[in-house]
Amino acid sequence: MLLIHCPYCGEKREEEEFTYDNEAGIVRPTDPEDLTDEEWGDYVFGRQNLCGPIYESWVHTAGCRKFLIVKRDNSNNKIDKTMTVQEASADKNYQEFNSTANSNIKKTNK
Amino acid sequence: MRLAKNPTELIQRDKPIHFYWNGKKLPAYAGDMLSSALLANGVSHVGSSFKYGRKRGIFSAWSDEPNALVTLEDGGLITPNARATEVEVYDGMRVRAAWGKKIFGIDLKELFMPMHRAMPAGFYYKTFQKPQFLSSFYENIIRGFAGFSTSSTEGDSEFYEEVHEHCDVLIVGGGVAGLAAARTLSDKGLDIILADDRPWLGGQWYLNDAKDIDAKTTQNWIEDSVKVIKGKVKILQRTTCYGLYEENLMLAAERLQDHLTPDARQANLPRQRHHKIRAKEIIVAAGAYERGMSFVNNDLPGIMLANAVHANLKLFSIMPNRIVVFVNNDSGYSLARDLQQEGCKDITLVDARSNQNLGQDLSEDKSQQPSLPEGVELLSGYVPLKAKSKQGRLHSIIMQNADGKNHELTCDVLALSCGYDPVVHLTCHKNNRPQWSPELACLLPTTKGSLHVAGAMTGHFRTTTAIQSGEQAAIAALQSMGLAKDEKISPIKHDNFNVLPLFVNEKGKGKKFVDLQNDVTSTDIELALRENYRSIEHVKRYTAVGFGTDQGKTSNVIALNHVAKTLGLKLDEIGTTTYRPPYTPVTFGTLAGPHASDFYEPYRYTPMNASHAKEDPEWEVVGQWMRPRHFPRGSENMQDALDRECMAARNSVAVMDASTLGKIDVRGPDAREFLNRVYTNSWTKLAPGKCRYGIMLNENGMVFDDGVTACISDEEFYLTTTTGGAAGVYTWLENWLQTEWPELKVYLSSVTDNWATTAVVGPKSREVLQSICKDIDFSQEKFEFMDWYEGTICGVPARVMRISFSGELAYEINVQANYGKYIWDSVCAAGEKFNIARYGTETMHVLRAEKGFIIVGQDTDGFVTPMDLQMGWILPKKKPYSYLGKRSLTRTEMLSESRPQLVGLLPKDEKVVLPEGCQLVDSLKTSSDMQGHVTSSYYSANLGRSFAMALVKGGIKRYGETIYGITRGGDPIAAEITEPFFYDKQNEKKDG
Ligand SMILES: [Zn+2]
Repeated sequence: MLLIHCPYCGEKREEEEFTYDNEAGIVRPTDPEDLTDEEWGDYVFGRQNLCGPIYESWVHTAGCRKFLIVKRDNSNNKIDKTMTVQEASADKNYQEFNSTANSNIKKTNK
Repeated sequence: MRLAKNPTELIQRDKPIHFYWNGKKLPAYAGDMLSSALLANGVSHVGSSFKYGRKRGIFSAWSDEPNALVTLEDGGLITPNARATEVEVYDGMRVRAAWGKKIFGIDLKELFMPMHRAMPAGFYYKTFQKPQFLSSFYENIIRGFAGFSTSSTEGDSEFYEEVHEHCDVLIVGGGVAGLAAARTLSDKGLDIILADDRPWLGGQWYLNDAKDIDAKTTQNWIEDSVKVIKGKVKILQRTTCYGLYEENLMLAAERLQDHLTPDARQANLPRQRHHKIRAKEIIVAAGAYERGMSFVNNDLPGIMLANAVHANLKLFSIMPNRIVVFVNNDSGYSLARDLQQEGCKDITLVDARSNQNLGQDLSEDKSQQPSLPEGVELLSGYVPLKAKSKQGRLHSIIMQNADGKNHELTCDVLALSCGYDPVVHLTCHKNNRPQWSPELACLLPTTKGSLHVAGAMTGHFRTTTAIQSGEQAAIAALQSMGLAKDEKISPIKHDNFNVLPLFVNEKGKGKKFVDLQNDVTSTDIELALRENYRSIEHVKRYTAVGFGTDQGKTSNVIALNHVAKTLGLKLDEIGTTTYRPPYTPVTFGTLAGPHASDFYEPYRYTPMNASHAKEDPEWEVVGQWMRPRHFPRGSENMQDALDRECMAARNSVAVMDASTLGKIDVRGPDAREFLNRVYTNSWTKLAPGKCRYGIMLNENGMVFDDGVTACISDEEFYLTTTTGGAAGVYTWLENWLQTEWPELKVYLSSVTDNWATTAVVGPKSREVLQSICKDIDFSQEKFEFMDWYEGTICGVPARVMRISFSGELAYEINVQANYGKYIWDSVCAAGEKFNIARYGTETMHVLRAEKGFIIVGQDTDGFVTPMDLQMGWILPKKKPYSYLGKRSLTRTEMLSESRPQLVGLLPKDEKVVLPEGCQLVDSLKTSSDMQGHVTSSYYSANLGRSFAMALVKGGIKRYGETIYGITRGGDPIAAEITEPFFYDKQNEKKDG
């Protein structure tokens, strides 16, 4: 059972209060109609599924109901840090993580 | 045989009690464990083995017991697969052996004895694969074999409780090491919890009665320690810490009343209490199990761990008549000494080591060196070769030395002392793997951070060193919290009791058991290795070693060593299997805690509930809501009631409570744009005062919710969702707003509970509404279909929407929830002159199905697009933003004509209703493929016949074809495929 620090509430709370959402940082393509079936499929279903430190989107369901970004090492289940969506968008490591995740879609977004 | 009173015994001689073993009344004393009570009564056969049905006896005295599984009590008080070594006997306790089914008084397994040779490792995998048709037969027979309890079909008659606790230090284990840690910490003003799974503190203190602790005996030291910590440390007895999770969360089960006669249990107290403890520091001092060894017939009743014989002697005053104590280390000598002191006349000590003093330099403390008690016969350099039985229990043991010389000893008990295995389980629950110590010949825990270990856990098996290590662990915990100087703690010297590691004696012909509970022999392990199962995890699964209720507590280390030896590898190269919670079985009741029956999920009631209850309807739970399903009058059965309610809605007027629909207040300058993105259709031009139906898709293009949204103003919308989907839709919408479209100025509020909704349905609804509302003009010209108006109904401000889920002229009255019941009652009263019918969910289903309206989650299953539902009209081609799921709809697969599509079905026999969910085939040949399934199916009084909706492959082009519904146990039902609209196909009824 993790303890997760909610960056909005400012408190470390029981995992039971939160719900896992998805791999974090999956950006919706700006022009879906220009994508091939395969590229669109990558966006809808493709996930990095990495072992080690990863970024995840969680929601503080039984608290403030806000979405937060959790950096968690899934090989030892340790949380390194949590961020608001806004903080995450300014976080360099997070950006790097996402650029690999969205490389396929980025191509077509240009 | 029970001895005369012994000063260390836990039993109360002045409280004789009785218990029932397989129906037979036997005596015991208060304070007895079930295992000691059975031994005292000479019950040697307590279990029956898993594969071979061999008789098994009590092997251990602790939670590692593999054999003595019993069923306690019956019905609502039943406890299946309890370990006799962990059960405290109370007066009148009813106990049954857990072994297999008896047919005509014969244990089934005995009939199958000749099959023994045909049950090697992997037997289950090999046997059950082919032939397929026999597999369920095998399963039933083998299940009947297994020596496990059957569970009760009754509900639990007791209740359970859950507590969340926080503390500075949690100490697991109340043996001398745990007590020493608690003592050291007790004057620091900390919150400390000490948990122990036994009714007594001190653990296995009886093993070495150290003489040098403050000149007191161990027992005195324990009593003194308890005095010191009382009031300063919270002591939880009968409490098993069974699982360690992230951030030092320890789960523990406290057995509050299991040890009491059912009549004496307090009704206001739970049976067990589930502790969820968050501790800053954890000290695990869980002790060690003694290890046996594997040789021919090592499973005979009468062969026990020396530790178990010792515990029964010192704590319960039970002594064997003729005993052989086999040791490969020094620790068993104290058992021989204590037996001799208590007057046992026939003790033979067999030491595997040819020189009992080998490695002497390790035990510096001369007082701890083993010495042979007077009158005890010693046989050095011998190991057990084969046990022999008489009348189903141990009769003699053949010992053999290195030269092959045999020596047969007659005995009724063989005590095995082959080394100690630290109880590493809890320390491994967080992915730590234990490490093999060649020096101590055991696995030692690896720990770090705020997890500390002490006592036998760290290989400090003697009382003196265990106490020292407990004190050190306490200091380490203080250091970790920053409460003690960060000085290096010098390690305490280990003592390996001069062990000569022995695991399997491979000599001799016959079954040498490694795992007693799962009947795994050393040859099974060798066979698995020959069949190329190399990973220890694979060997475990193929042979079943370490499975079952004991999870291999007495077998894992022997198995690991046997694998290593057979493969010629070191232990470290093999690794260990994974230790997972729970450490010992936890009853489901405790896991569920108070979250059971009425408290499993909340029930939600609409504001109109009291009015519904007066009518005594049939109820249905829909997404936590209690909703009336239908309102039978007088002697009506369900179909009668449905027919009447449906006819009233079509011909006169009927009323339904629609308050359970999810409602979301969507507000902000970008509300329209937001709706445009999440719904397929366009909201750009929806004017205030108008309503519109919408469908939401996920990004995979599949329908996941639908509902009507009203435009209140340009910046305010009132969105409704399905009853069951409300919470999911709300989170889904928030997710898009917060993470993907933060630039949209939109705020969402869930207002489901703020509004109560009364749906008034039928051609007379206009008259009913007009009679109770004077400030809205309900005429067709003024109040059109999909309009909404604000007005006052019976003095209550209301939003009235002209929307219809039945195809009839219909209005939905939304009022502040507090007025819901008042408005409902007022509508019912106003409708009385038309004999207004209250109706529930089932009638609603029939009415909407007659019109072909879908219910998301019933007619859709997450793989259905709007096109599949014949709702292409709701997918406009031109919308600036590519709404959610749109791109998926043009994937090649989505355009396939053979996708399951929503169609109608008319059974050939108009009286026969197809079962919902039944599979459809297009011919009755045995090889015909499934064509789809029935999603909704009813009898319609309005149509005068049965009808159904179904998802059928390529169904839209198959109108007129005959399809067959396959029913369970009945005849196939033939039906014609039609369009999914059955009533008022021209939409003429909506205006009344
Ligand atoms: Zn929060």
